[in-house]
Amino acid sequence: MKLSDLKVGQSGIVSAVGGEGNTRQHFLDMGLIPGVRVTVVKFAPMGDPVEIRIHSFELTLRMDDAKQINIELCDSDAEEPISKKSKNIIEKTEHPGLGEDGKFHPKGSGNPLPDDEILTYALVGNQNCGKTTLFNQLTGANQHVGNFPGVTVDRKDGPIKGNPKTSITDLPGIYSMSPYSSEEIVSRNFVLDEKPKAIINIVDATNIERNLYLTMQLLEMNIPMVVALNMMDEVKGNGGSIDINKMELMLGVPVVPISAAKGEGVEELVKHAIHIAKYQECPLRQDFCDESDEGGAVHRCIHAVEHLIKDHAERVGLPVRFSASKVVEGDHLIIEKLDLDQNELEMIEHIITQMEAERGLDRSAAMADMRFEYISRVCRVSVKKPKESKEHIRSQKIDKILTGKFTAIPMFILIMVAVFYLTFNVIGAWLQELLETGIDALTGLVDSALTSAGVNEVIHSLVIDGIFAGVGSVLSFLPIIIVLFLFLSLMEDSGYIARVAFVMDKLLRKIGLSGRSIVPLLIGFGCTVPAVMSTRTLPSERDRKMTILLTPFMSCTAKLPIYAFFVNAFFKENGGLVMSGLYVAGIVAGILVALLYKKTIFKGNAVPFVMELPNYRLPSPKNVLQLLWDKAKDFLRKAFTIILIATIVVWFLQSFDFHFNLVSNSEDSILAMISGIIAPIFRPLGLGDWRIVTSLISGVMAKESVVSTMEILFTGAGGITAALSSLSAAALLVFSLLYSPCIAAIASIKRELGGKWAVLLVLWQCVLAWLAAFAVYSIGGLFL
Amino acid sequence: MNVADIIIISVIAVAAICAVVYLIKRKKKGVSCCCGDCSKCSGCK
Repeated sequence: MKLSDLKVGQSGIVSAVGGEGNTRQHFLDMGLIPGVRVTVVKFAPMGDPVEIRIHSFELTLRMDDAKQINIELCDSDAEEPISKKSKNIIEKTEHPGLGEDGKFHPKGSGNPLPDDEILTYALVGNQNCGKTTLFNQLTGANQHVGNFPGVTVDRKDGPIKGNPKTSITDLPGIYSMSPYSSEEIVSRNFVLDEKPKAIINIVDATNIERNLYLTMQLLEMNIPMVVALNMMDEVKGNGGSIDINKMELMLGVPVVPISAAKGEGVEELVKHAIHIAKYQECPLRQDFCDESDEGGAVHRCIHAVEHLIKDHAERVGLPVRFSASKVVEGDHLIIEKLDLDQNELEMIEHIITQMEAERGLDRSAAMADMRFEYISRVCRVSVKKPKESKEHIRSQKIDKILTGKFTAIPMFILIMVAVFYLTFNVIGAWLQELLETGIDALTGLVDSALTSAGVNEVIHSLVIDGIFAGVGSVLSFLPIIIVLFLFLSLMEDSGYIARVAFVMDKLLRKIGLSGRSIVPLLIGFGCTVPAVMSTRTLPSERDRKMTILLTPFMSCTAKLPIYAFFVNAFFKENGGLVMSGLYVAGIVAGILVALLYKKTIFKGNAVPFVMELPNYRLPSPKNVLQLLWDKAKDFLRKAFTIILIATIVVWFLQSFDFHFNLVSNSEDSILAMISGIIAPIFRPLGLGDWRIVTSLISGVMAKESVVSTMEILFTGAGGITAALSSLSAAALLVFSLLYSPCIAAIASIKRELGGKWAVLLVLWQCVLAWLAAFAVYSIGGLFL
Repeated sequence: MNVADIIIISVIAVAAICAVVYLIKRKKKGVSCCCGDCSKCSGCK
């Protein structure tokens, strides 16, 4: 029987895990190993993917992947085999005092590092286990924290508060040290190549079995380490407990219970972290394979390989035990690094094959089983499982509606409509009007002050028609942008975006993407730059590239001023409809382009959708406000730097001719001359006016610049409405929707994909925008 | 040009120069672009 055959509520014991390569390794690393019990929680509304409960957490899997997992049906209430062996035997244990000063560390013992040496730390843990919250607590930084696996996509460093001679690095969340996603390789390489003085391993205590799997592999790296048991408040609150002393003894490293969100235990964690790094106290234990476990085949195999590769590992500076485990698992990156002889490779292969035959499991499954077996032993003697947490019960109730078969998609549409409606028509619009009134009042005040001071007409024009009109028009969009980011942040922090990925996976697969791609695409409605960066969480290069190339089709907030400007001028009566139409048109264009990519440059299928669904959490007001403040700062910085310079340059170029004489008619200006050369390209779109062309070009610097430039250039009688017909305005809106992203987005695409892709994307989008605008203008012309 | 003209022009010029210097410095220093892959690092440009 296959896992895919189970119905909601049914359970089964995994008998074999099929598949191959990294994907299979990932299943095993996530705890899907033979002997473990899985229960089907629910299916996505379109019947795929499926959410399963394994150990004490929920995972999502596609049906195709579920078909690769063999199970034996069991009673849903029956205990799973592993836990049968794991009857909790918690006894009182003395404090081992690892990584501590005082009586546990005799004065003068150990070899402390010199006082001036910077103590470097790697903060490593599973995705969504509270790493960034702890990083913020440790360093006093204000990095954004989300409730979605993989919020940290780049490395962040900072000294621990009050300890200037320390540097802690927040690494992307990973499930194991196997090279499944680029983040896992990045985090692994950081620990192996950068050689931090110590590791702070953050473990989610509410999900301890799965989190300790990574701990096992980190211990094998033989680097001083302290385990921070996070969310202990939640464990205790739900009636659970953990014998810290026992766990510390069994893992051979200091274990500190903390609550990163409340800041509890952080001080003690810092003390331990500094001690182990200063005295370079390595883990007391790296050997987790048991001689008596299932005949000891795995134990003998690992130790035999360890002896064989010892010289190679030492030569290239890799930890011996870690390398041996990875060689047994068949990790090609480590095998290549070790540079083994053919004889050695063959000998190792014979040893592993023998182990597989004796153990009755393949190499990857045998290694995963060995680790989970030790974890179950640790948990058996040290963990009293909490009853089902109220957070989990609450999440299940909410999920009945938000991911329910008949309610999920209507709820998603409803939420998105509400977000856009509240942003553009209620809260954001009201705040925008308020700010606009303020800006207009200030402009009037400055205008009359300049007039009464008898300021030169040219300077007067520069201040009022240039700076105030340009920067002011862009500034007024600040409230809308902040409100949209507020909603996106609430969706992410609450854990809803992870559900959207689950619900939308099947649909996105039809266009060649995975459900996880929905996250960058949704962020793209805010800004393309973070959207492009967030694609780093996608485990396949193909999905990542394709998602990056599609994010610019999602209308970012910077395009809003353009839409609002033209909608107000030309389509005021149907404003809402046109605005929504533009957003939908962007999505439709994205879908069509994705289908094209799928059939041409990105053939193949999206990678498996193995993702953890976190419990819903109430977003922290501090976190949300911090994010909004950062976005507001970014926007203001842009308005007073790029936009200010652009408005001054545009004003100058449209006020003077090539001999630097002030022109009375801007058609004689430098700008008119330059743009006039390009204008014929836009004539078939009904956009042959040099001022339109100039505005569109300035939009490549920053999208908001299109409006500020137009405000400066269209100051005469009639303004923009006299220069364009409604049809031309529609063509211009479509062109603005699809043409090249701004320079910041291009730079981030270049950083992720390289210069060639960035240039090709810009050219491709310009051509596409021209064709779409031409179609709108020509077809519209037939009816109007 | 009167005194008011000179003051306004100076303020605008200083603001524009500050904006340009800020943008250049930011470009040189690099924004949050670290991929964490130090083995391939050529600095944040």
